Amino acid sequence: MIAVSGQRGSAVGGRKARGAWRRGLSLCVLLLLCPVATTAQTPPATPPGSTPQQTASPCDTAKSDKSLSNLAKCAAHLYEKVTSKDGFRLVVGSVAPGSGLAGGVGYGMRHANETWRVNFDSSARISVRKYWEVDANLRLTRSENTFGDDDATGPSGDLKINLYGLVKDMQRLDFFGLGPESSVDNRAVFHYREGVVGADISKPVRRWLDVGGAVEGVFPHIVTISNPTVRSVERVHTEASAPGINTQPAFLHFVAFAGLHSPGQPESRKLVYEFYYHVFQDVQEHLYSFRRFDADLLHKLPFADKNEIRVRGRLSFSETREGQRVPFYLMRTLGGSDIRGEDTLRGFRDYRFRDRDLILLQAEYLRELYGPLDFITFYDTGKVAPSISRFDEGRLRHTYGLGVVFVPRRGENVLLRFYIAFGSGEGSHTFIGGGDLLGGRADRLVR
Amino acid sequence: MAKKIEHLVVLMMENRSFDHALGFLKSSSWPIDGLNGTETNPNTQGVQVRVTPDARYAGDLLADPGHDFISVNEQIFGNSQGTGTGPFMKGFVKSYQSKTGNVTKSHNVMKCFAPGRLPALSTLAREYGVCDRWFSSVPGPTLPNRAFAFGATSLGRVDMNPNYLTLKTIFELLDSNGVASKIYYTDWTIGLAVGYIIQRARKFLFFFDDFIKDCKNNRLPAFSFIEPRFNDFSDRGQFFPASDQHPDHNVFQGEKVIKAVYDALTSNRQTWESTLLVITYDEHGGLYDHVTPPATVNPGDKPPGTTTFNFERLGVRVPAVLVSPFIPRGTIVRKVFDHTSIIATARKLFLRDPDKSFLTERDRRALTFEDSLTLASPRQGKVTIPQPTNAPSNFKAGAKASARAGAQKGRAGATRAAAKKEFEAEIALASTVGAAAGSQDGGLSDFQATMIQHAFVLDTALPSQQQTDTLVSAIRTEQDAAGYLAAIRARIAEERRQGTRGAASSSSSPRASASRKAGRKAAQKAAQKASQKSSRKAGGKAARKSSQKSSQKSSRKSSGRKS
Repeated sequence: MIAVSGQRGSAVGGRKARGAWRRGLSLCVLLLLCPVATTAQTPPATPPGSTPQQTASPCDTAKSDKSLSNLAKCAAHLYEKVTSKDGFRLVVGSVAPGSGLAGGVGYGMRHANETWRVNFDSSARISVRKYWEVDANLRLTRSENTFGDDDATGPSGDLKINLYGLVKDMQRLDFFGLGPESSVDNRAVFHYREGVVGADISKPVRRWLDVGGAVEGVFPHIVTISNPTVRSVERVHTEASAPGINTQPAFLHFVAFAGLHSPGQPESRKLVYEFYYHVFQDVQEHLYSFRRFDADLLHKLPFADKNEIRVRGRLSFSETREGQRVPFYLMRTLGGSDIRGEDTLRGFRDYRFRDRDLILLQAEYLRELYGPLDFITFYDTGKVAPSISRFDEGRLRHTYGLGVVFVPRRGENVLLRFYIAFGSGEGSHTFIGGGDLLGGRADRLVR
Repeated sequence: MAKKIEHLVVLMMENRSFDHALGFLKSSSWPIDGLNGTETNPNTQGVQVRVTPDARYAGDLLADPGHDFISVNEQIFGNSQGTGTGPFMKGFVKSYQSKTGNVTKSHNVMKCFAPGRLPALSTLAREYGVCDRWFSSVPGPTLPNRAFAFGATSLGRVDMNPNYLTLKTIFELLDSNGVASKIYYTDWTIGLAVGYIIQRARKFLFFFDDFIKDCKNNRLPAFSFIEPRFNDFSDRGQFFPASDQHPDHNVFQGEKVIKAVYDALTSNRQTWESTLLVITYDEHGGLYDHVTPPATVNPGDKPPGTTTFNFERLGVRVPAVLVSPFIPRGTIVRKVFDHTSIIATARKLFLRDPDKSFLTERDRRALTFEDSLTLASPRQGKVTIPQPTNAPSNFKAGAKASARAGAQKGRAGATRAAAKKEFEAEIALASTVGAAAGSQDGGLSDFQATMIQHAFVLDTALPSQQQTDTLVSAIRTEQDAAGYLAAIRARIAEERRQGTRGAASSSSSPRASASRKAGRKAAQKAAQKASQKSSRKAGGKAARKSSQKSSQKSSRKSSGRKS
């Protein structure tokens, strides 16, 4: 997920927005090259006259003859080289919302037999704001090489197993305090590093139902910010206002997953409901164990040929035993994009609201402008709360906005987004972003 | 045509050659132009690598065999220029070695599917119609071939440039004539690169799921083009593997798509009885096929000399299956088709003035296949597609046998020897079946077919410049057979004379020596097999005698050359 956002309303925000535009434009160009990668199964043909072993690379040709077609061939050649699934490749994306553009290298390997396909992917990336991430994933997928009873309605998915490990270092994550009424003026930052090792397994058991589970070891760490000019969380907050600030134990994390959706291929589904049940077990301090239930409900409603309405509801409820607390760095957030890159209250800054529970309702209207380019207008409303019973406290926040999105396929998820959002009372919020441009991460059950 | 066809449905898969997918299904009862089991390609060390029926669904072709324009030239002509007089179709293994960098792995392009491994494709091919002269439109990769399937031209390109914004396609042609058409895709279609289609995306672009529904509700448009999944799809709780059969995607996933399409069409009787389904492949994907692509016409949209390639020859042969209840069981269509035949057929079926409404010269002159529907009334019932047979348990033995290209008896333990024996029996069976094919055409007896087969082995054992490059599978009359045998005799005599003269110099080349050695082994083995086969099949004493004689002759010839 790559996201570049800017907050209007301050000089810094304005600069950010202009920077975002420039970066966004270059990202757009890169993104437009993506179909080339998708389809570039072979190198472009070189003119006859020599054997391939002796053939100069298109870039060698472009050096001597800088015609547009030669430069384009060279670009395509380089693009293919840097996005290869095997061996080393270039990685372009981000580490987390707010990290800015990140780049690095990845390494991939594949192996297959009739039943099992094994993909190993690893990457290391660093962003312009010095956020960094090292990530490795071994994905095993198992194919059923027999016809099933439900094949008449199209092929169904396969068993998937991921074994993974990652370390993420995020230099400056915003923290505005807990609760729905936290103030933007109370902004503090924390330097968060997280290591995760784990495994997940998932399997479509019906054409409308996927199930899965994961086991992880999570190793959080808040790095002390030594710069005295930075308003850091550890300076201005205590354990009472930011649970987990004093100590960050290791967690065992168990996840159960169920996904209900309309049957058929994933690209065409109009209804997708995902449910997760998390158990975070503090294995060191025994102070921060908690359980969380997440639901993510999405409906797509196309109508009148070129129009579509999408409605999405998200719920997250945490539960603790007496004496246990939910550490603030593992809480879900509202505002901009969350740590997983999902849109939340788009008129607010990233991570603007944080607490144990949240509700969020989003409605989008998309209308086709030209081919895969759609106009979008949206409305988001949501709130965080310390418990379900206290959802009536504080204001329900509303934001709205408009922009354009790149939807490469009818009914498909949005690939590239540009929007400007209002209504937060804290300035407008611009956003340009999309999925990982090059060498994206593996799709794990828990992100 | 027995009945007006209202729907033409095309399912285009990826990157498999005819021989690779269907070649080993050749039999006396179904004499397609497939494999005899003796077809070979030399590797870079001069060893002849034989086709084997041991292709796996995945894992053989992790390095994608070359199928760009240059690679295909190498595979067909043995050189990157695409010139020469033959022998043709001998460069597949060498071309693949440039991809794998490994001699043993380079042999994998000669692996073909055993009967029963691709039950959907092969059952439909046997039960309805198969075209054994359907060639990809361009000796090149995916995009130009798919562009030809849509627009009868690749705008003069043979590369993977995805810019087809200006391509005029069959969809546009039909649309301008008020005829409905749809692309049913899964994750991608070349339609997303065509300007006319992008601008009317919601008119033309539908998901594969919609195809299932449209079939069920008898709402198919006149022309449908189905695209499989080209890329693995992985999201949090799910994984959908690519189903396009492109190496090294799991081929059975594509089988599921083929079956799903067939099941969908047969789910509604009205749909089924008014539809002609074509299952084909965009190109051969660098995998072996033994038929030399024929000449064709330039599409005429680019002036001659302005393009890298003149577009006057077709690409390598691909599987093509026609499915309709009006097609008799076991139909074999021998007309030369390429992907523009789809356009030509659609024009003929759905346009009032098809001769005047064409896209390029290529589709104007392309042959059509709607005349394969020869039954007066539709066949009743639906064909049952069986589960696949298990993978041969002796892959390793098979691979080794292939690598040794006609090796003699195994030296390993009893189990390995038994596995190898079983494997070789399978090859022998395939050869037997193949050789018998000729007799079905009324031209050749089993024994004559055996002689041809034997002569072919000798032919391939000759130095490359001496080989006749005869299309053995095309020999169907006694006269052709006699001509071929005479040619081989003459070449052998010539080779013997040259061999005697230049024994000293040629024996100094290790590669030539290896080649001769392999050739000898292959010849001896073929002679043995021919002998066994004639005894078994022809049964006649005379046949046995002749076969033995020819075996001895080949041995003598080999030893003569050795000296």
